[in-house]
Amino acid sequence: MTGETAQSGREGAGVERLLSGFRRRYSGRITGELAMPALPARFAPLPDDLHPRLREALMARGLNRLYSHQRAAWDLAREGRHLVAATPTASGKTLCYNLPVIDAVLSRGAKALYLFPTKALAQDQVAELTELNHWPGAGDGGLGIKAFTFDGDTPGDARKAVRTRGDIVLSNPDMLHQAILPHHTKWAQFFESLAFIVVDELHSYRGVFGSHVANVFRRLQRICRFYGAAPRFIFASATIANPAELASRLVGEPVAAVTDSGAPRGARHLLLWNPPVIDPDLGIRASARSQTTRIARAATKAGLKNIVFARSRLMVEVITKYLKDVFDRDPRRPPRVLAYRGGYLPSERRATERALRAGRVDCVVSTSALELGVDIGALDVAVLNGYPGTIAATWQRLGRAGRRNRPSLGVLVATSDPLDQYMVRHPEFFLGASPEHARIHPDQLLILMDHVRCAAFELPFQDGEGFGADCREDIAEMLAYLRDEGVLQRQGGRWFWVADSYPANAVSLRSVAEGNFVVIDIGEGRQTIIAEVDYSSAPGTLYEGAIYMVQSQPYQVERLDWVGRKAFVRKTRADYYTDAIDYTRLKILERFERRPLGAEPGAEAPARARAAVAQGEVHLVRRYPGYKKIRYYSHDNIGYGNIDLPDQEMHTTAVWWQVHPQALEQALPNRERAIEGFLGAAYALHHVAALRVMAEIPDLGRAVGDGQGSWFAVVGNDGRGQLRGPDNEPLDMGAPAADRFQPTLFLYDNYPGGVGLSGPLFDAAPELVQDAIGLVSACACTAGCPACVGPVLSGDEQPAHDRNRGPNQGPKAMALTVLGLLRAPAADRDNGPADEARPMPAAGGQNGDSTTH
Amino acid sequence: MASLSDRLRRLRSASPEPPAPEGPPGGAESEGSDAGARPSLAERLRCLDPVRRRTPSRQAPDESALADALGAEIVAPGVLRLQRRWPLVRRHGRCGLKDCAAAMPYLLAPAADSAQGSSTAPAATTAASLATTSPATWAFIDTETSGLAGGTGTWVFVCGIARLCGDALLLRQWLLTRLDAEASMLRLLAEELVQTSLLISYNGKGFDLPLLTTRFRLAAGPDTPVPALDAIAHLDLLYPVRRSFARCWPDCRLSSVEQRLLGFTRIDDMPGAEAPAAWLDWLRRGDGGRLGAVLRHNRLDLISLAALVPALVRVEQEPAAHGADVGAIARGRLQRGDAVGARILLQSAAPTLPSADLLLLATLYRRSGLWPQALSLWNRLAAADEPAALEALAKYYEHRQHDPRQAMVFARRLPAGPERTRRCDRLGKKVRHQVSLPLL
Repeated sequence: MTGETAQSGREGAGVERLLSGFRRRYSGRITGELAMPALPARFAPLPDDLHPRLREALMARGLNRLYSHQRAAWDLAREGRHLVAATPTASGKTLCYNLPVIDAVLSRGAKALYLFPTKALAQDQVAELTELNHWPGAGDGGLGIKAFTFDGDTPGDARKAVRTRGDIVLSNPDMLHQAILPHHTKWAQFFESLAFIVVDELHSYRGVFGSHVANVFRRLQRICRFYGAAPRFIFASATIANPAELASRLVGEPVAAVTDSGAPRGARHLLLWNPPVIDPDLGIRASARSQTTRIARAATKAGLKNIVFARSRLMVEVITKYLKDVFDRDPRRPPRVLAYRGGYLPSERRATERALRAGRVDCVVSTSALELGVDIGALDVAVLNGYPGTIAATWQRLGRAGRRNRPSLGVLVATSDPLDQYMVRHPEFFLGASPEHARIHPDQLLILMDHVRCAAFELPFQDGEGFGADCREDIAEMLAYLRDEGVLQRQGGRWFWVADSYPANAVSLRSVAEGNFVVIDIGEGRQTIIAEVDYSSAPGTLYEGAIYMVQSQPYQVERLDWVGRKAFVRKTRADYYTDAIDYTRLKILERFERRPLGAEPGAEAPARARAAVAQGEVHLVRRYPGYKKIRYYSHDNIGYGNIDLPDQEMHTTAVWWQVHPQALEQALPNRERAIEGFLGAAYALHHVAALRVMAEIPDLGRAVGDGQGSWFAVVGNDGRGQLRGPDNEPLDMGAPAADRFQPTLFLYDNYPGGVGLSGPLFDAAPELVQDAIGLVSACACTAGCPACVGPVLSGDEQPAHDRNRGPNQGPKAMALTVLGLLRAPAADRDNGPADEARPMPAAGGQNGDSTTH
Repeated sequence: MASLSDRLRRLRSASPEPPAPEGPPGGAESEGSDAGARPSLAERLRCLDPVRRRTPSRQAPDESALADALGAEIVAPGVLRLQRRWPLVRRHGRCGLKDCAAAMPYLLAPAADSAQGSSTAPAATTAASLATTSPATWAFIDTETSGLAGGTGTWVFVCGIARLCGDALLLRQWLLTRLDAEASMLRLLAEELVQTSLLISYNGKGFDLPLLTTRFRLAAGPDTPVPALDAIAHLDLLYPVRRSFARCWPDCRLSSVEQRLLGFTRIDDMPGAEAPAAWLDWLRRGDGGRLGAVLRHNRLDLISLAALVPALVRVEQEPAAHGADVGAIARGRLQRGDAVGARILLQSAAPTLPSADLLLLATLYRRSGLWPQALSLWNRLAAADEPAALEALAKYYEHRQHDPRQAMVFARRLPAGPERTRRCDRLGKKVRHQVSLPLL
C-alpha cells in the first residue's frame, strides 16, 4: 500500500477501490448489493423563541441553523406533545431532545430525567452535556446546566446533591424502578419541576424489557401526577418500523414521530456476502469468521478505518486475535486492532472509545456493545460477522460506518445459521423490507401484577383509580388479590401498603422474574459471584456437571441449589463444553382464534379445510434428562451426563398448525416421513418467525406433538424423527391410533404467560409459511442441512441407500410438502399484506419449489 | 376467561387443567365461545390455596375499647395518645435521669461542630445557644414502624416523644389505629414538633427522621408545606456511642448500650422486630392485644435515651472506667480544643494504648515541648518499626538535633517508597555537606 492509496482512502476513493476489488474477485460470494446515493442536508432556521444564551452558545459553535428534523422536534416539543425522533445513526438526534430540555432549564428552571438502557450511555451523555455547557459563547460560567448521572455507582453522599441540585438527571430504567420511584418523596423537589423525560435508544425497549418499562412509566406518571407535574416524553430511536406506536405503548398516550432526517449522508454501499460452499453435498460453507477476517484485513490494508461486529464475546476474541496476528505483531507499537465488549472494565472501554474517536485505531472488533450510541467517531467500513438477528440492529451496526458525509461500505457476512442463509439468499427481504416492528405487551399478567404491587407501595391506590391509560386489566381485582395476599389493606376508599417488604427489589426489568440464579465461584477458598442467569435459562445451562463460560474461561457447575437459586462452580480446564438435551411437551388449554387453511376462497364448509392455524394458551412441560459433552474444535460428542432437575412447567401462548389426517395421508408416504417433515418445517418456521417478531431465537420455542400431550416428536440421536410418550419413552410410529395421529406444529412464546409474540405470529401465519418455503427451497443443499430444516444424517444425502425412501423423500422434500399443506389458499396470499416481503427465487437455488407466482 | 388468581396460579406453573379437547381441523367449530363470564370474587377466592383463603375479618376494629385497654385517649379518629410520667429520680438500671439537663450542653458541643452533625442545619454557632434553651423544648424521639424496608411503603405507626418536665420525664405516644388517619396523626405530631428546639434520638438521623419526612411528604400532596424536620437541631446519640465504643463492643445497638452502660436489662420486652406484626394483627383482625407491649417497648427506648445523656458524659470524663475507647475520647477532647485534657487522658491510660494512640500522645508531648517524653514514646514505637515513629525520629534528629547521620539511621528503616527515597536523598546531601564543611 502506498501513501497515495491511504491518502485517497481519506478522500473516499478508498472505499470505491475496495468495493470494486471485492466485486472483481469475489462476485460469487456477493449475493446482494445495495447502493444508496449521498443525500444533501436539509436545514431549518434556529427557532426564534430559543433562549438567548442557548442561541449564543449554538452560534458560537457555528450552529446557526438546524437540520430539518431537529427543528421539527423542537416545534413538537414546543406544542407540548410527546414525540419520538427516529432518524439514522449520527443524524444529530441528541440535539432533538437537548435543545428543548436546555431551553426549558434556562428559561423556566425546569428539570429533566434522561433514561438510557445502560449506565455507560448515561455517562457518555453527561460528558456531552458538560461539553455543551462550556461551549464558547455560553459565558464564563458556562450555561450553568447541572447534569448528573444517578446509577448504582453514585456514592451515597452524592445522591442528595443529585436529587436536589440536578437540572438534568441521567439514569436508567432499573434505577428508576428500584431506587427512585420507591423513594419518590426524597425526589419531591425534582418531580415537582419535572418537565421532560427523555428516553434514548427507544428501540431497545421491546419484548419483556419493554413491557416492564412501560409499566415503570405508568408508575412514573402516577408519581408525577402526585406532585402536580405532567412531563412530556421525548424519545430517540434507531430505525424501527413503528417508533410512534412503540413509544405510545410505552407511555399510554399518543406520541408524534419525527422520522424524516434532514442530516446529510454520504453514499453507502452494502454487500451481502455468503462464504463459498466447500462441500456441496453437505451444504457446508467456509466459515463466516474466515471471510470476516479477510474483509477486515483488506479494509485495514487499504487504510480504511473499520469495525467488525461479532455475535458472541468469544468470537470477538477470536477475530481480534487473527487480526492482531497480522497487524499488531510488534508489541512496541501502539495497537492498530482493539477488541471491545461487555465484561471489560469500564476504564478500558473508555480508553478504547477515546482511541477510536482520535482515529488512533484502524480496526475495532466488538459485540453489540458498540451498537448503541457510544460515540466512537468516524469509520469507513463495517463488517458484520453474522446477521445480528433483526433488520433494525443490522442497520444500527452498519450505521457505524460513514458518519462524515463520505462513502462507506457495509458487509454482512452470513454464517451457516438458517436466518443468515435466508437473509443472504433473499437480498430483497433485507434490502427491501422495512425494519421490524418492536412489540411490547405491558398487560402481560405477571409483569403487570409486579408493577401494580410496586405502584401500591409507592402511593396508595384510590378506589376506581386505573393504572395507565391503556391498561385492559381490572385493577380493582388485582388490588383485592394483593389484599388477600396480605400486602394491602383497604380503608376509607384507599388501598394502603402494609407489608414489611420492598417489592421493587423482587422485580427485575430484564426478565419475567422467578428469581435469577447467581453463579458462584467456589475456587480459591472463597465465594465470588461471577455471573447471573435468568430463571428460564438456568435449567439448560446450570445443571450439575455443566460447563459454564465466563469470558471464555470455562467453569464447571459442582452443585446447583435450585431453591436458593445458586450454582456453585469451579474453574476447569475441560476440553469440552456441554449441551443440555431437553424435550418439551405441549398441551393446548384454550384456543383464542383459528383460521382454516387450504379451503377454496369462499368455500365456508369447514370440512374442506385441509389444515388450520390457531393461537391460544398452552401448558408446557420441559424436561432436561441429560446433557452431551462436546469436544472443542472437532465437535465430537464424547459423552453424556444425567440432569436431575424438576420439570419446568409454564403456561404461555402459542400459535399452532395442524393438518387434517386425511390430507396428511394423501400427501406423505408414511408417518416417519410425515414426522420428519413436521420437524423440518418447525425448524424453518421457528427461524423465519423470529425474524418477523423482532425476537431472538430463544424468545420463541418450537415443538411438534399431538396437541394433547399424548405424544411428541423429537430428532433422535440418529438424526431421525422419533415419537416419544408423555414420559419420554420411545413410541412406535404406529402407536397413535389413526384418528389420533394429528401432528401439531407449535411455535410458542418462551416466557411464562407469553409476552405477546404469538398474536402477531398468528396474524402473519401465511407470510411465515411462505417465508419458510422460501428458506427451505432456496437452500443449496440437496436433502436438508442446518441452514434450512435442521441437522440431518449424512446418509440422507444418498436417498438410494435408504430402503424406506423414495427419490424425493429427504427431510427437505418432506418439510416442503408439510409447509405446502400449511400454506394459505392462493387468494388469501395474493391479497395478503405479505406480497412485498414475499421471497423471490434466489440466484443459484437449484431445486426451487414453485414459491412465486 | 379464567379468574385472575387462576391465571396467576397457572402462570406460576401449578398443575395443569384437564386438557381441552381439540377437534380435528375439519370438524365443526364454534368460534369465540370459550370466553365465559368472569366468576365472582368469592369463587376466585375459593380457588386460592388454603393459606391465602383465610379471609381477614372486615369488621371495623373497636378503637375505643383499645383506648381503654391501653389507658390512652382518642385525640382524633384513628389516633390514640398515651401519656405517662417517669420521675427523674427513679432508677433505670444503674442510672437515674436527674442529671440529664445538666449534662446536655457537654454533649451538644461536639455534636454541633463536627461532621456528624452535617444534616443539622444550625452549626456550631447555635450549639451554645441551644444549650441555653429551656430543657422543656428538647424532645427525645423514637418511632415504631411497619418494617425496616424503607421507602414509601413503610409506616410510622407509633411516634413517642419525651420531654423533661419539672422533676419528671413526660412521655407522650401517638398510635395510629386507622391507615386513613395518618394525616391527622402527622398534623398532631407537627404541632408537637413546632415547639421543639432540639431532637434527641438513637439512629434517628439515619432512620426515624427520614421516615417521618417521607410520611409528611406523602400525606401532604403537592404544594402543601412539609414541616422542615431538617431545620430542627438533632443530637443522634448513636454517634457518640459509636465513637466511644465501636472498637470495644461487638455492636452498638440500643439494647447493648442498655446492658453494658446503663446496667439495664429488659424483662418481658417485645423485640422491636415483632412490632410490625402486632400492628398488622390490629389492622387486619382488630386484635390489639400486643399493642400495649409495643408502646411499652417504645417508652423504654425513650427512657434509655434520656438516661444515656448523663451516662455518656460520665463516659467522656472517665472513659477507662467504662471500658470506652480512650483514644477516641481523647480525640474528641482535642476537637473541642482541650489539648491538655486529651494529653492527661492518654497519659493515664498509656500502658494499654494501641500505637496509634501512643503516637497521638507523643505528638501532644511534642506540641507542649515535652521532648523527653515524646522521644521515649517514639523510641518504644520505633523498636517495633512503626513508620510514623521512625519518621518523627528522623525529623527530630534532622531538624532539632541537626544530626543528619542519626536521622538517616531512622529514615533508612522507613518502608520503601518515594517518601523514603526523598528523605534519604536529602539527608544524604546534608551528610556530605557536613563532611565537606571542615574543608572550607
